[in-house]
Amino acid sequence: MQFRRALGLLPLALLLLAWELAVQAKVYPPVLLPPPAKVLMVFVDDWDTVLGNALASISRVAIGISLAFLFAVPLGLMIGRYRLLDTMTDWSIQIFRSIPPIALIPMALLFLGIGDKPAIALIFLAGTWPLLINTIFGVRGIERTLLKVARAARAGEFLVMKDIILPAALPAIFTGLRLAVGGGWLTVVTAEMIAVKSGLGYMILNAQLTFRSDLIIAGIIVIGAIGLLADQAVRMVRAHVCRWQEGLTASPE
Amino acid sequence: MSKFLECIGVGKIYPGKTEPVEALRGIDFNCDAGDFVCLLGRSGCGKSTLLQMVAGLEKPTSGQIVIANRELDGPSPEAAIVFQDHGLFPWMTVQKNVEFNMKARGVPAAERRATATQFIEMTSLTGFADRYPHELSGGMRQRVGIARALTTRPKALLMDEPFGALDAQTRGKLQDEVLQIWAKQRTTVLFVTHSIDEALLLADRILVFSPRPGRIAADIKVDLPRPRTSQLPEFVALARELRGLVGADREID
Amino acid sequence: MLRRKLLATAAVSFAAPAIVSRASLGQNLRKVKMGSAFTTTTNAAFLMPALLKPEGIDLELVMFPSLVQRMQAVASGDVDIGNGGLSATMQVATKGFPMQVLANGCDGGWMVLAQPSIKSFKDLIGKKIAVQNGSIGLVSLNWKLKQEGVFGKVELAFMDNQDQPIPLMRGDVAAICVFEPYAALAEVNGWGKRLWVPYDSPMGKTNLGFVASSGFVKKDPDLTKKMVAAHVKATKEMAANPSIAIETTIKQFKMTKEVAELSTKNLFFSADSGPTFVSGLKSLAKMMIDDKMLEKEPDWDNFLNLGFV
Repeated sequence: MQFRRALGLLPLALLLLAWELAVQAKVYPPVLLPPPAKVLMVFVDDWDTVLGNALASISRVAIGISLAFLFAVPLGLMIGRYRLLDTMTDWSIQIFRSIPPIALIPMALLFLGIGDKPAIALIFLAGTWPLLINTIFGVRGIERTLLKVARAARAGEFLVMKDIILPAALPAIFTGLRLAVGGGWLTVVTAEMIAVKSGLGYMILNAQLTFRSDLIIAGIIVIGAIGLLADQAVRMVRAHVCRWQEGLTASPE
Repeated sequence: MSKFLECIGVGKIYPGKTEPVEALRGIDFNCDAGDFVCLLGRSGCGKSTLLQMVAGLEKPTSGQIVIANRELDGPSPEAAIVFQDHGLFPWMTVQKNVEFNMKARGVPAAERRATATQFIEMTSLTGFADRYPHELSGGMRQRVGIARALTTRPKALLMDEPFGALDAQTRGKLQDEVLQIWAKQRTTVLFVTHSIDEALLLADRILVFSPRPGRIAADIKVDLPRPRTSQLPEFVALARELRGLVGADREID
Repeated sequence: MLRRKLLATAAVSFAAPAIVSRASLGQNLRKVKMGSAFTTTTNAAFLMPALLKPEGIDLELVMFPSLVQRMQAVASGDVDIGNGGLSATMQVATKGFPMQVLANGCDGGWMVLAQPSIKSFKDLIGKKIAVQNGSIGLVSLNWKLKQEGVFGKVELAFMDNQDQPIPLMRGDVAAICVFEPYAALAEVNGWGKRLWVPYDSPMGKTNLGFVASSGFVKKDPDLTKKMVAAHVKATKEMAANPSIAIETTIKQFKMTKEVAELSTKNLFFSADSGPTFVSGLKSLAKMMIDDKMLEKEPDWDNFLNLGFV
């Protein structure tokens, strides 16, 4: 099993090889494409910078996505449950989810100023839509008999939400969370264009200006690695919280 | 003496896609407390619809349903329903599933636990209390559904083709268990089935339904002594009579 | 710097036709690509295709969202000649990609504005000033902050030019060091007043140049000569006719006439590549080294090739 997982490194190894060959063959000017060794030196010489920026970006994404979770999941549960709410909000959701965060920078500046607030706001937006939509989807997908059981038992609305709707929607919510974490992380570079002083996005943008392509590539690598780790983390949490679901994918009898 | 359950001029019309569909017309019947009544018929003759209405999950478009002298307005606390697709919450253990109907009524936790354990034992589920539904066989899941329904000591136990999805052997066992429970608890049982043999095995009284629109075509008393076997000549004779009433159809055995 | 105008550029195809497509009778036009960027200082570029057609050159203008990206394209060999920010040109040149400065392009074009309550740089202590990272504006600003003894006491907030007016209006920043037409925009709307006209540093008004890769010049000096000549002519025309720049600013940046006129007054189109230009450029290099934006001075003998003017 571990060996099969390690197969996932194969494409990356090939990419690394192609990169080194391109550098050796002098296909691209070194100012734009540095050799892998130079990028490696960034991790050695500038480790503190890279780590510090990585932590800054991670904390922004963590805050942004947490806010998105707290906002989108309860809202999604209610929209999924109450038809009227769904009708009211559907168009708005479809409109706003299509707007790329980058286009919202001027508005973010206008309403929130500069620095961390608008950055987190953009990440919040990137994460809200997948969480909201998947939560609604999770509620919709509840087996109808289960709701009948609740109705026949005359269960109160709060109990239904807590003991039925929420657990039933959890797998879908986790799917939404995976997408949200991914989307929020994608947005971090855009979000850090607004006068922040730390972060991987900031580091990359700065490196572009000073033509430090080794830093750019190092930043990209770190971003990718963290993205992978975050996704794995969410998967693990889901596997634990939704362990009751494992049996549903395999045949039970 | 007033009857325990009365259906007076009950009818149900659905809006339908192109034109209204009359699922039930002019249902008039009543029964005493403790009766075991089967609703027998082919699919599409409204027997499930009627059961759902007695369970309070649907409202009749005409007529009334009265349980224990109270006209139904939504699910009655005196009734409990068992579904064909068991309706167990996959994220709850057997114990928690069985406790649900009581939780919906606000029964305190300790009492819930004790009562649930009692019925888990009664339905031969001892030892499975901490399992999840996906770990159980079909027959066991139905037992959980039955146990859950019994915990609120319903005066009317409503069963909607509960053994339809099970193999013959398991079905036989569960039929015996239902009879035992009925003998002990002396609830009124309304049991929907399309199996003539099953109806004869279980019921004191069989309401035969005919379709389009659903009506009660016949009301047969079954005087056979218990325990019953399908070998008895009287059994066979009644079965033949019922077959004629229900109509020759592949579905009926 | 990633300019969001990348999205807008595709939509805004106002810019003067990129390709002069109709060939004159019997003339075989030579296709040449020239790079430029989406700023107010580069307006002269739009006049060049028409000037070069009679010379038998079919000029295609390749517009980039920012001068930094323009330089990146040079380094990758896409567009060898054209307008270029002089700071970025030096950065590329000192990183192993030989470039040459052929002529001056446009001087000035930026301004430091502050909220009306700010009367001097000392008032900025503990406050924020917005500036575009890596820009000439930043170089001049750092110099000024040191001069005023407030370097390190004023917080720099790095933002793209077009993002700066709003925070100034809101008060998130107390001052901005911004390029036209955004300086004029902020001024006309009353969001800020001029705190410092940024041209009294050693680098003066040095901003834009007409540059090319060394390889390009070496390969075809004749073409280079023609292009420099066209650039000089176009620049002179821009300097003589401010209305051209004003119109372009209105159309490209969607600014009002008032803003366009004010911003154009802050643009100094000049191809004068004499001693003032050279000393300004050398000072710029020194200032950038001080700011750690440049590792070392370019090899001036090879870097400056002003003979074509």
